[in-house]
Amino acid sequence: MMILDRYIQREIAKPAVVICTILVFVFGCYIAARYLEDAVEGQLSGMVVFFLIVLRILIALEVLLPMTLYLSVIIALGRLYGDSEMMAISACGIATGRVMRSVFLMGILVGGVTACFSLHIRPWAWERFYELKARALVNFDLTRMQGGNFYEIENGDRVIFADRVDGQANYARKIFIQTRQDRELQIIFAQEARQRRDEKTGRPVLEFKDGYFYEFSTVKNQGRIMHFGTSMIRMEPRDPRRDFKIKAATTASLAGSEDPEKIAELQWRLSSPFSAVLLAPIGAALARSSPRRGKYAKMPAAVVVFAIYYNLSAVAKKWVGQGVLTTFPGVWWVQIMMAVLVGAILWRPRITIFRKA
Amino acid sequence: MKIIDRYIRQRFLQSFFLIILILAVLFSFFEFLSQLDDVGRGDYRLADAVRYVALTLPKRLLDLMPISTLLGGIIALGMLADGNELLGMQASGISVRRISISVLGAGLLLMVGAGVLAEIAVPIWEQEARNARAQAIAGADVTVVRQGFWARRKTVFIHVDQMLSHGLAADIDIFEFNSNGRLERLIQARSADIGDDKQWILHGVSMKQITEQGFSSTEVPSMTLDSFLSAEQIDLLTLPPHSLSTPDLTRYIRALDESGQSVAPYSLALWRKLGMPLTTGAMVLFCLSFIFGSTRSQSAGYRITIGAFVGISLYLLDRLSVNLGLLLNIPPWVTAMVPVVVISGVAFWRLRAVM
Repeated sequence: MMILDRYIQREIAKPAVVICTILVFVFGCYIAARYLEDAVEGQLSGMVVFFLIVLRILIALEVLLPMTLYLSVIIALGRLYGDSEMMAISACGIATGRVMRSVFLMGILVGGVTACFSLHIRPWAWERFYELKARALVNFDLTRMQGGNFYEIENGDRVIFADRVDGQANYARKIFIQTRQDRELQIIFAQEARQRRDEKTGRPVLEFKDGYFYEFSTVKNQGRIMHFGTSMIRMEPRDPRRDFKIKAATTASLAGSEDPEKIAELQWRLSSPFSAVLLAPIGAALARSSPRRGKYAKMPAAVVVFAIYYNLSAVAKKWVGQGVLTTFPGVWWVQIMMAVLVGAILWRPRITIFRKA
Repeated sequence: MKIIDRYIRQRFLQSFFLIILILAVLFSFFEFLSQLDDVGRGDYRLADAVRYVALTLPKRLLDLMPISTLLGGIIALGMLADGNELLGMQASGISVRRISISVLGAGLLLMVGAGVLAEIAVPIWEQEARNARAQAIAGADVTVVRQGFWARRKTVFIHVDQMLSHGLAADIDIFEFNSNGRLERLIQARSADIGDDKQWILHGVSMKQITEQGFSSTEVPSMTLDSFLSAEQIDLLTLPPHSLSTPDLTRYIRALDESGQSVAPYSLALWRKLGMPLTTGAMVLFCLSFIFGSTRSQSAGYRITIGAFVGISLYLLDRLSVNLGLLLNIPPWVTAMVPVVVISGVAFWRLRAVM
């Protein structure tokens, strides 16, 4: 009997590997398109973009893994039904419940991995993500600038524009810099600029040649004007303004909190492994079809089930956070609904979802 | 022949729609998740988030089009090959070339679809989505439609902090330098009416005339200024390049060129728009090469896996080359067209033996 269990599990695992890799790749490409646009407009270097994409993939795996299992169960069992193998299994006197048990085991396995992602890896990845992005946006690099483009850096407090930039020679011509600080407006317009590192601190410094420096107070009618031969400003990487994001908080720090938003986040993390356990049997029910029907006939219905389930979960989480829903059952009501559906399928295997007339 | 064409087309499109449905649902969910983070800011409600996700759907579909064509095509043709249907067709005297033409016919439909999406649906819906989102987040008392922008022409720099609505701007700084790089005039205004004739009527103006000795400051309730930007151009300026239609893009590239700003992101967006349907078509060719160009002993699963990976790598190359091109100052039409040529080239090279 072990042979049958292993056979079914292997049949599910085979497409799962392919589907998971394809989903990860496609998701990576999709996200890459966004950040690579940033690399041109803004200042993100290739390495930073690469890490941001990897982090986003790690974050997304929490959803991609259950979806992979769900699609694989439908494909694998769909093939078993299509090739009449399920009928052969029944003919050998093995109950459908036996096949379901294998599916369940796979669900629990994937659920366990998903739990690792949702409880530990995802918060860690969000934290690294915010940190990396904040740091990248604060650090300015002249050599990555393009002539004719405006760059807003340091949260928009400083704007830099250069007529022409030679990145390799580390040299910019006709550079315009506006800095806003509380009530002062500083403007620098110089014919030449270069970026170098301060020997002592190792921080980037912009060095100007032949230019003017203006400082105006926006409240009082005061100002300063200076003409300089050479001058420089320090591009201090300020401490990245870190908004405390609940998504990046460790699971331990969320436990025991009274804040509804934190409770919602905690419930979401705890409930996400169940998506794999619940989706797997639903996939098995959807795969059931008579031979000679298309292998993927019920796929659209399966995608609809997936969309409803996940979007409802997300809305439930938001509502718990906003206090629209009480914290108990909180986000669990979507899971409970889903569990009832699974129960009905297991108890009455004859019930088919989306029976086609 | 009509029947077989229809059959192949049907199988191809079925797989395509299935793949794009799965991917669109998945990525829409991710978008929805990130929009939910903003729900509660200002007047941005759950319904607004749903609306935003729905309105940005055309852009997502367009982005997913080439990859869905590839995966859908490989699955559909792979299943035909697995069921020995392709063999049957060839046995009944239909040449590989004939089958390919029929598949390409279906691909042509998708290319037209991609073109329509890129030209009509994406610009309209994307702009609507962004406007509605910005408006809701900014709150009820101020109707900030769009964010501000910077612009330059020769030695005049303009900064508009916020665009309130078509032709109405708030918090404006205008810096006028002379050719030696000395600031001559700094005009700051609380608001401005911007007409289509490039005449700006500034309100709440504080103007500083700057000389070598110092500066003199004057305050006037309002003044008229001839600028280089019309209200129409500003509307385009505050939207991301990919959300503009072709006529808007060409018009805007001309305006940017005149003002001496970099046109690269915009002209790249223009070429991408042209390139997207072509990449979709090239992907059809690529899946053909994968089905006919490989030996028959491979299983569908194996072929789908290998084909998908090679195809996705090509797609990634396409994405990378576009952005690398911008960084390395390669002309946009070269970067936009090279991947299409490479993908079709690989496909033809693989197909040369069977055709």
